[in-house]
Formats: sequence, structure tokens, C-alpha cells
Amino acid sequence: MSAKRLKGRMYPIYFMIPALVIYIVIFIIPTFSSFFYSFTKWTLTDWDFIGWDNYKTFFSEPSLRIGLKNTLIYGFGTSFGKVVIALLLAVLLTKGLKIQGYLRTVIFFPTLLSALAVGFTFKSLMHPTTGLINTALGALGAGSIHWLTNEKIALFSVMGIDIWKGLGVATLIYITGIQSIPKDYYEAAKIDGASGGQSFRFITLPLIRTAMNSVITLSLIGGLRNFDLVYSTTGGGPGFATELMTTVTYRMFAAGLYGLSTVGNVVLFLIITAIAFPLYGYLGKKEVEM
Amino acid sequence: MKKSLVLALTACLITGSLAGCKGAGGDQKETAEKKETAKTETQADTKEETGAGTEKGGESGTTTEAAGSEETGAGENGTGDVTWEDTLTIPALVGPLINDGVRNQMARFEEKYNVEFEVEQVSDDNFSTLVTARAATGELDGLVEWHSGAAMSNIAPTENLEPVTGEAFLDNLEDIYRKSVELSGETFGVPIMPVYAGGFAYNKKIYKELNLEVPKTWEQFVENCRAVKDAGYTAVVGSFDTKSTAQMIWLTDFYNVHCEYPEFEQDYTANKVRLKDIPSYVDSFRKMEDVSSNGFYNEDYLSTNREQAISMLAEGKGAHYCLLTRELVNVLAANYPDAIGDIGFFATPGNDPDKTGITVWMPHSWYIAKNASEDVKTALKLWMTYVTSQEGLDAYFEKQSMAGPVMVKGARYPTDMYECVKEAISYYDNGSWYPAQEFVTPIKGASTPNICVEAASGAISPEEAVQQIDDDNAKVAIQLGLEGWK
Repeated sequence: MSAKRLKGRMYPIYFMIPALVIYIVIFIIPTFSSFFYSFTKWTLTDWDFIGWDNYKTFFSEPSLRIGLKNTLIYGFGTSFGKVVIALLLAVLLTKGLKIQGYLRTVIFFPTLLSALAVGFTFKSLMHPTTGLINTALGALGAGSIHWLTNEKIALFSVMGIDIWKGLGVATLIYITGIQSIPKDYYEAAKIDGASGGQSFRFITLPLIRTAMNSVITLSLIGGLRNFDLVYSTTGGGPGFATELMTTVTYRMFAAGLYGLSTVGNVVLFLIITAIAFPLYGYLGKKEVEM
Repeated sequence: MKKSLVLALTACLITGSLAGCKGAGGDQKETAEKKETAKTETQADTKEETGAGTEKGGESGTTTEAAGSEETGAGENGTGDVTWEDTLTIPALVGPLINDGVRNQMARFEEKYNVEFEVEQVSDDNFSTLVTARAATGELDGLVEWHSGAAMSNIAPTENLEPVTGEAFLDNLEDIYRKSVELSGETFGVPIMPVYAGGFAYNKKIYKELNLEVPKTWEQFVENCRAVKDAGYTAVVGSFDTKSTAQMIWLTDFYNVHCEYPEFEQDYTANKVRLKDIPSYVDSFRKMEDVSSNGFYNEDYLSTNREQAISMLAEGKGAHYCLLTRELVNVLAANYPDAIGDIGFFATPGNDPDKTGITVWMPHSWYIAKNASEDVKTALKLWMTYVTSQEGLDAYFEKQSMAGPVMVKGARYPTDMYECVKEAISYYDNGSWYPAQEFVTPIKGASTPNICVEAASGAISPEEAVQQIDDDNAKVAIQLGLEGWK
């Protein structure tokens, strides 16, 4: 195909106008205006420029420092849980078990549920006296555990729910990754006398790097910006123990503190960008060609 | 074949889920986009909802408007018996509290003036968000139910609501109520219902069994609780899963704060005093600590919600529950009609046995949206006259049991009421009552329920709790632009 013909076949540049307009209107403008509004005290009709005051208030807020810390614990914790557990599940589910199809469906199922429905269900399952989990533990002789109202474990309970809910997608991504590895590699390794562990370590693991990177990135970003699950299980409580950046921001917005809640959004945006961009670049470099 | 199909399908799925993440940080952008537009999304959603609901109302409103003002001149005189020749449609946005009494009033009013309320009722969870979002986008229309007191400013009354300052019907209302719907020198609303008393409901059966008397001081209350606990009942039912009820002991104690520091609202609103320097204010949180550190609460008080708590009180598992008389009438009497007779009521005790009194909650109010057509505004002023008249009150009490005193001067109301309500009203009749803090000062912070949970679970001391409330309130005061706060 000659260069001239190719050029004739290229799409004209103005084809991107619709997408560009949408992108500018619903992303670029709100983002940059929110940077501006975070320096103001605003209502829908009026604004006052107040410099760094919002940021000062925001960072002097005790619940916010908890929120910031929890957001990081939550994001990295759930991501780690999903990356590891889903990988093990995926390996198991590509072994050719008889009930493999059934198991895959079961594991994928929580993904289909809305986070709110999951949240409310677990809230009643984790009820300290009437919940199913404690009733079952009680039958085994364990004492009642305040899953969602003990400030020391509440965050981890919610993280557990999140991991349970997110496993489906992560496992599915891994499964496709594993299945796309040609069988010849394993056969060759077998002939060379590699053990199952060695095949996993030297064939599976490097070759599902792409899948793993996707799982890490997706789950990390999902975890950092989680809102609905925490909101429906603990509402940020008890006290401020499970407060995340998003729940703090929501509470400020609901109370009419628009300037402060804008700061919350800007800070969260910066955090996610600061973590996700370098991470994605780093992970991308580690991928190998199949 | 099957295998390749599976592969193809999963590949599709994955490309779908990766679409947001592949490329130069596409997902970060998506994230940010979602965050940044979260607000606008809620607004857009509500806008869409209203679109369907009120546009219709608006249209039929304008057609009848012409008919109304030309043929009967209703727009001009505003008072007297006006009816519309063609039925006038009035959009009404209401929350979950609207009860049979209010519905009866609406029905009577519709008949009398040939109007029709197009009622949009919003559930409890969505009510606040929806109304504030609609106010923020200037979408309120017709008749609006909203809070009185501090929360009134959340819907920017000066921009969204029609002031009714100087209208004759306001003269019928108690001054203390009127103060709670005033802002920048304008008055905006009229009460929807009676006021509600806040205090402790108690189970009389348990009291009788243990030979206890109604406590007049906090010490006596603690003793009673100890006796109840020793007898194997839950002394105080806590329901910290429901945000509004998590704050009750603190909020219902405001009468005691008021007694010791009558100038509280002037001084605090003007930022002349810090909460931690008011001993009675710290006491309110100490009371909360007392209840939890003595183990008076039910085991799962942090996971219990209001409905579960009320059932514990009604079924005689718990002896005390701090609540509003509204809950007694709306929830307890409705669900446990046999038990309501066993329930009594006393004010949250203070330190002085001669000074016990109730803290009362001003009812939600009816407001007129600025966007409403002139005809609708005229009709709604008639509605406000109606609901503050004896006729309107009669219609209300015809279908609804009494839950508290009425803010209409010289109103006659039924004497037939539940025993617990009678006990609550007796404080009011003695003059031992004061509005809750949020009705006398516009400052109410955003995190108060969380702080109360921390205080009640012993995570923070009463002093720390008050300090946090102070800091939390300061943000709101600054946002409101109150004088003296910076």
C-alpha cells in the first residue's frame, strides 16, 4: 500500500471533535475548576477566595488524617489480598477440575452484585448478636466479635468484604492470562524435568505479568477510591475508625462545606495520580513478550 | 471450537474492563473524572427526576395561572376565600415524616380551594441529599418540607424560598418557633406538625417491678440504671447505628445547659465562648460516658438501629431509651399498640432536682419555593393560613394522635393522648422547656454523630468530645460567614 493511498484512508482529524468536546466538558473543565474552587469558600451562586485556608482546615481535621491513613491501608491492603488470593484461585481453576466451571461461576458471582447490596447483607451477617457469622462462631464456642463496631478491626472487616467481592474479576483476568500461555512451554519444561512449582515460578508467573499488572492497577485504584462499601457497612464509624478520604469528603459536602469537600476531591485525585502513574509505568516495564 | 469461543468471550470481557486502565493513565483520569463530577452527577440525577415530576406540574400550573388570575383575580387579593375555577396544581416535595394528619389537611384544603397537591414523597435516606441538591441547583418548586432551625440554611433560604415576613398568619405562631425559621431578617415557614419533646422514655412495668421512681437528677438516674441492670434488664437502650439517635443524650440535655447558661446562644453564635469552658455542656458528654462506662447499654448498642431499640423498649427488654416523642407516636404506638400504655416519659435529668425540663424539637416547616408561579404562591399562602388555623389543626388531629405541644397560639388540641405524651407535655405546660440547640443557633457541625459514637464507646473523653464538637462547628460557622468567626 503506497503512502499516498494510506493517507487517503486515514480518518480526518475532526473526527475526534465529539470525543474531545465530551472529554473537555466533563473532565478537563471540572478538574481544573475544582483546583480553583478548593481555594475558595463557595456556594452555587457565590465564591470567596480564601487562599490555603481550606487546606489548612482540612489537614488539621483529625478525622481526615485517619481518613488519609485508612485510604492507603485500604487501597494497598485490598489490592494485595486480591492479587494473591485471585492468583491462587486462578491456578486452581485452570487445573481441569471436574467442578471447575461451577466454581468459576461461584467465584465470579459477587462481582454481579451492587456494592450497596453486598454492604447491607454483610452488615446484617456481621451483626454482633444476631448476625450469622457470630452465631456460627458462637456454636463453635468462640465469643462474639464486633466485626464492624470494634474500632480496631472494623476497617479490616470491610476490607475482607471488599476482597471477597473483588476476587471474581481478578480471578477471571488471571484465568484468561493463564489460558493464553501456550501448552508447549509446560510440555518442554516437563521434559526438562521441571517440577510443578518450577513451572509456576518460571513459566506461569512471568507470562501472566500483563494480567497481574491489570489486577494490581485496577484493584489499587478501586480500593483507593472506595466509597459505597464503607458507607453501607460502617458509614465511616465507629466514630471515625473506618473513615476514608471519600467518606470525609462526602460528609463535608452533605454539610454544605463545599470548599472543604473540593479540597478532599483534589487531594484524593493527586494521591491516586501520584500512586497510579508511576506504578503503571513501573509495572509496564516488567512485562515480557510471550 | 468451544475453547476458542471461551477465549474470545473472556478476551472481550477483559478488554472491556481494561479499557479504562490501558493507555496513558486512562483510569486515573476516569477516577478523577468520577470524583470531580460526583457532585454534578447527584445534581444531574435529581434534575432528571424533577424534570419528569415537576415539569408537568409547572405546565398545568401556568395554564391555570392565566385562568386563575384573570377570572378570579386570586393573584391580587391573596386573602379571603379564593377558589380556582380550573384545578390549580401545586407541586409538593415532602419527606418521610408526612403522616395521616398532614394528608388529611391536604385533602381538606384541596377540596376547599379547588387545588391539587402533586406530592412527591422522598424516603428517609434520600430526603436531605435530594432537597439540598435541588436547592443548590435552584430546582425547588411549589411547596417544600424542610427542617427548621440550623438546618434551614442548608437550602439557602434567601435564594430559594419565598419570604412570608409580615403575613397575618405568622401572628398566630409562638415567637420561639418563628425565630427558628428566620434568617437575615426574613421569616420563611410555618410549622408542619406539633413540636416534639426529647427525653427518656422508660418502661413502667420494669419500674413497677423494681419499685423505682422517676429520677429527678442524673445521680438518681444512674442509681435506677444500676438497679435495672442488676435485675437483668438492659438499663439504657443505645441505638448508635441510626445517626440521629446516636446524639440524643447530648442533644436532649440542652435544657440543662440552658438553665445554667441562659445566654448560651448569643454568646456561642457570636464566638464569645468555647464549648469546653461551659461545664454543663461537658456534662452532657459525661452523661453519655457514664452510661457506657457503667455498662448500661445493650451489648450491641453500636450496631442497633432505632427500630430495634424501640422494640427492645416496647417488649420490656430495655428500661430506658432516649428519644423524641415523635418516635413514640410514629413508631412505637404504631407497631406496638398494646405496649404504648406501659411507656412513660421523663426529661433528661440534670443536677438540680427542682429544675428538670424537656428539650423540644421544632417541627419541620412548610416553605414556599421562589420558583413557584404567582398563583401557586397565593395558594400556598392560603395553605399556610390554613395549617396555622384551628380548622387546619382540627383536620390534623382528626387523623393523628397528639405527639407534643402545638406552636400555634391559643390552639385547642385533643385531650385524648397517650400517657407518655401527656407526661412530656406536662413539662411544657409548666414552662419547663427549651428548644434544642440547633433551633437557637445556626451552628451545627457535620460530624456530630461520629463524635457521639466515639464518646459513647469510650474512645475519647468528654472533654475531647467537646473539643471536637467545637472544631467541627467552627467550620460550619465559617462557611455560614457568621460574624466573629474566621
